[in-house]
Amino acid sequence: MTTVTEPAEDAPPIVDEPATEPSAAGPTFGRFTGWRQLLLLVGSFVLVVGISSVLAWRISPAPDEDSHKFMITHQANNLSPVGWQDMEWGIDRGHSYYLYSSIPYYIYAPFERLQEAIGPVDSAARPDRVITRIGGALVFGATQLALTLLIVRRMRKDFSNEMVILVALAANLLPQLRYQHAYLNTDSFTILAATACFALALRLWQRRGVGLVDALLVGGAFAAVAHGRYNGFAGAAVLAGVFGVCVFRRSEGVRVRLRLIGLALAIPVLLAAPVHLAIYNELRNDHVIASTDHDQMARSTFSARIPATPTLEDQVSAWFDDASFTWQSTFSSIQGYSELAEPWIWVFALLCVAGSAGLVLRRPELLTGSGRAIGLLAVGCTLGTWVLMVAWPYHLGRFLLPAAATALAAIILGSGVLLQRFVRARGFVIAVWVWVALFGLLDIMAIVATAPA
Amino acid sequence: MHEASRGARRGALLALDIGICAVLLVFAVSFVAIRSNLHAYNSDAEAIAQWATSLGKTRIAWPADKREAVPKLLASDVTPVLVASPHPPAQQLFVNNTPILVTTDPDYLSSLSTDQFQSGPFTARVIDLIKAHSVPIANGEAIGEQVSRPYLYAPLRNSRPIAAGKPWATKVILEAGHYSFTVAIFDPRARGIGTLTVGIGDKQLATKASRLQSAMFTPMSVEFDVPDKKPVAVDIKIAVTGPATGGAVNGFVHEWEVRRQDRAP
Repeated sequence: MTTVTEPAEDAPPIVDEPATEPSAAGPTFGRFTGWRQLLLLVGSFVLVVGISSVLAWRISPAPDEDSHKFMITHQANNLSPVGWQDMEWGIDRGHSYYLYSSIPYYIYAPFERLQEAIGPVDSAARPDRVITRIGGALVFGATQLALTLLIVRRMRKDFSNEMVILVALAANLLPQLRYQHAYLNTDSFTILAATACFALALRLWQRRGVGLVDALLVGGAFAAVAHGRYNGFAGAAVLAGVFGVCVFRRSEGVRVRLRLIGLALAIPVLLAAPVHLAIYNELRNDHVIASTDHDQMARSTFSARIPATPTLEDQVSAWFDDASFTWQSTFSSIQGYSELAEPWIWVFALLCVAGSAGLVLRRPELLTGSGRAIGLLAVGCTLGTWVLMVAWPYHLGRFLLPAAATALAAIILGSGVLLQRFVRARGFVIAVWVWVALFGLLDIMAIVATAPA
Repeated sequence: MHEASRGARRGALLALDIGICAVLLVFAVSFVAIRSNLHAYNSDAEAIAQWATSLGKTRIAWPADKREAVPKLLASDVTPVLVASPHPPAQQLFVNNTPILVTTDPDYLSSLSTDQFQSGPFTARVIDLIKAHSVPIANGEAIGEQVSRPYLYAPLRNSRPIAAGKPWATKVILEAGHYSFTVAIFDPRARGIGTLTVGIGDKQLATKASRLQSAMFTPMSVEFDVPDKKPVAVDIKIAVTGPATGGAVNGFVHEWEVRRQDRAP
């Protein structure tokens, strides 16, 4: 059984993380050792990847997937970028994904080559792409869980390694996340890049110094975000803020500071800026990002009309009309198979409010101060992204996931803190298991819903 | 040894600093270069737009390979129509109702011109559209309209609606040769049937009908031959029909084109 131990005042902490932060050498964290922890760890990876793989096998239609598949197939077999003539007609005309970075598609490319070598898998719902899908589920599922583990470990002040694994597992059992990893898209990459930003922000916060390796990692995360979609930018903004504060407070000398900031900027400029310059040059209409162009192409292709820009009042009205669906589809919306039922929406609203409140609480001291702060920032970024959605043509919950994936892990921890306040013996454990059970149940429901008729 | 190590470290950091500066500088220069390239024709576009509006004309045929000037032209209250550069078929100007032709070839279509204006590499001409309409297209040339995607990217325009019972038709002047009439048409509700018809007066040269799809997958195309040696007015028509029940049926045209592709003798 996993338990949370209340340490005696003079007893050493039950984990080997420093009680105060940051330490001189930076925090050290308990390794996952012992057969029970390793079993739990391996089981979590298998479960997370397995659920997405089952969905990948079973789901037939998925949002815009044919156009993503076109991009992946092209990038798996060509070094040249996709041109507008390649996507001139059909539904691809409405999904002008060639106006975005191709890097997220390269992650699927090896599996696409494998799919091409093996050929169609007839028993799968989509024989032509099931291997590519499962490859994506494997890479994104495992990496996302690993990053969540890193985040939860750094948020943890006083609970066991088993609970770290369970919290990360619970956050990754989110049905919408399992679904995102189950089909071909660029959302999974964006979520991963934003999660990496939060993980790095937390790492920086807990370190006493800032070095070149930190700047290199920050630059790499910025580059990853720049290759994803715009809804991942919130994570980069948090990282930029934390990095900036750390550089100015924890490093000395103008030249050192400029070097650190310069390196963090030069890496994304080197790795991502050429793509954006190429898109700017391709559009030739003064747009530096393709959002307007992408939206107009979709409207033209599927409805033949380009609506006038709605007034702010109309946008706000549409935002409120869609709010329930946005919230619902943040948790579980499997196109063509199942949508989250009404009572669940309120259950999760309540749990998220409770979890966010738990993050504000200083006692019981189960979480690090920096962990609570980054958790609250992730919650804020999720809400901020939701508010910004008012100007977007679609208000889909999955667009919130880049920040929400980290926010959810923090909220699960926060709900544990809150319950621990009232049920001192096992409140934290109960809360985490409730999340695991709720999301596990919804995952089972999703798998059942996608069962072949 | 210690000094050597510190020296090496200092050298590495200096190299890093230089590398960082180089990367940021190259990016800044690249951005400025691309931006200035994209705005290179803005002053010419603005001058031509002012000249055109002073003549009371607001539709301009503009070289497609200079489409970066479109934002400036639109901001100058003229409507550019992108045409093949530097020698668009004269009839393309009639079809798109563009009395001003802007081209980089100063002599092109001077015989159809009544006035002209020079700005930078561009010659803008007032074209007599009636005369332009009478010039048949040469082998390999095409005329048509890009309705929904006139500038490739934003701003896009509404596609042309074709209501059931209200066909769209126009006349093009063609001489003897082999042609294709291609239309990108669709019906978001996938209920209509689109029909392309080509004829000379009462004589039908070709027709083709097919069910419209919910998005435009493959343009409808019909091929035909014009037998007359002398240029002749050919009627091209796009019609939509659909079930009587379930509300009005509309087809939507993204673009259409008549292309001359003579067969090898």
